[in-house]
Amino acid sequence: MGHGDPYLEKALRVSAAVSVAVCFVGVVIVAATASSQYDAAMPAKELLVGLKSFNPLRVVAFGVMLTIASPFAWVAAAIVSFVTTKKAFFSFLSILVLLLMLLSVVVTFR
Amino acid sequence: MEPLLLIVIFFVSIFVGVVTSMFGIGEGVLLVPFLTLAIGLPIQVAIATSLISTIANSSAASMTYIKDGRLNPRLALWFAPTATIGAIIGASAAAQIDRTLLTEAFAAALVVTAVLLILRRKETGVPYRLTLYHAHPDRYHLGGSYVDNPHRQKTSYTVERPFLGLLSGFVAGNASGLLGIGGGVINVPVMTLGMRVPIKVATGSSALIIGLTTATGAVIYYANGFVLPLLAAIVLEAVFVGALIGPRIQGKIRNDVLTTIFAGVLVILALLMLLRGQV
Repeated sequence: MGHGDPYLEKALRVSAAVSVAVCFVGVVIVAATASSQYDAAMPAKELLVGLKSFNPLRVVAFGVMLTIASPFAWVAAAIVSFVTTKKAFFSFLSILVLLLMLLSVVVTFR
Repeated sequence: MEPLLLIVIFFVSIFVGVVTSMFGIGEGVLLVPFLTLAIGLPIQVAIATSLISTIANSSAASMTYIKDGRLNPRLALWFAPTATIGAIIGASAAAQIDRTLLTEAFAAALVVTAVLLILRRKETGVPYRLTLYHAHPDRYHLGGSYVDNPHRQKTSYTVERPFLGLLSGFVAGNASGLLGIGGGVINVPVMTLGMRVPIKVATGSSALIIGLTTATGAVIYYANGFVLPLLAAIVLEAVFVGALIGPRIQGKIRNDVLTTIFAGVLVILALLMLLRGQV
């Protein structure tokens, strides 16, 4: 019984590539536009929801948010994998994990 | 934050990525002391930065491990529910408690990590007793098989004392959320010494658990405004690069003496953090 899990493997690959790439692009844009005029100490939360005008740091903040969201996608992929292979116990376990992770989002942002 | 300072942080973070990936531990043990002691950032910001870079690292490591079966998703998900609860409690507490207390807790965690690193040198003997594992029933079907690279052989194993995993997951998740240290340093010894999981599978499965718990913790730090995006992105990229380099040179220079020296460095960092007090 091997562990080769195509859904999880794909989720890991895509999430790593996308989040690292967006962060990289964001850092390059900030460096290219000499964005020292922007406040690098501004928290990501304020950058993403609090500003009306364009700010290159917002791209970086978006990349960071994608990074934080990646593991949610991994668990979703695991759910698909266990459900399609009819592993009821592990389907339940992975749904429980996703619900707990979502609970942390709901509780902190309410 | 000055551009020159960010460049310095970038190169130091590459070094942190190389060293911590060589020893198979979370980069928080070096990153948090660096960002607090050298750069002067609040410890919560340092922990949040460390958690985000750990997620990127976890996905990179998990990608590698899942191909040859060294990442067992069933085993990782067995740890995950309690680990997630632990991370929620730890990260919520970190936002509330006094910085000095958090610094002292981090210093204590560094000393524990140093001790576990020394003890972990014994774990490498465990996989050679694989045949014994078949004698134990695997009630929850947590066992599996992986490809042992030197011989390209498929090695099967079963998992003993599964409930140890629930406890370990909670403690590691809590440490991860509270201190940003990943949790692999707790989960891996429990898996190998307590649950008789081969070290290769324990390391691989731990990488996924770390990703899940750090993401849960990072959400809470994010909501509390401790995530500075530019700093987090620069450290994330640098540690990612470092983590790609580390395993390549691991076989060439890692040995027991180096582990002992590294453990000594962690103890010194712990003392510095205690002396500095509130950072």
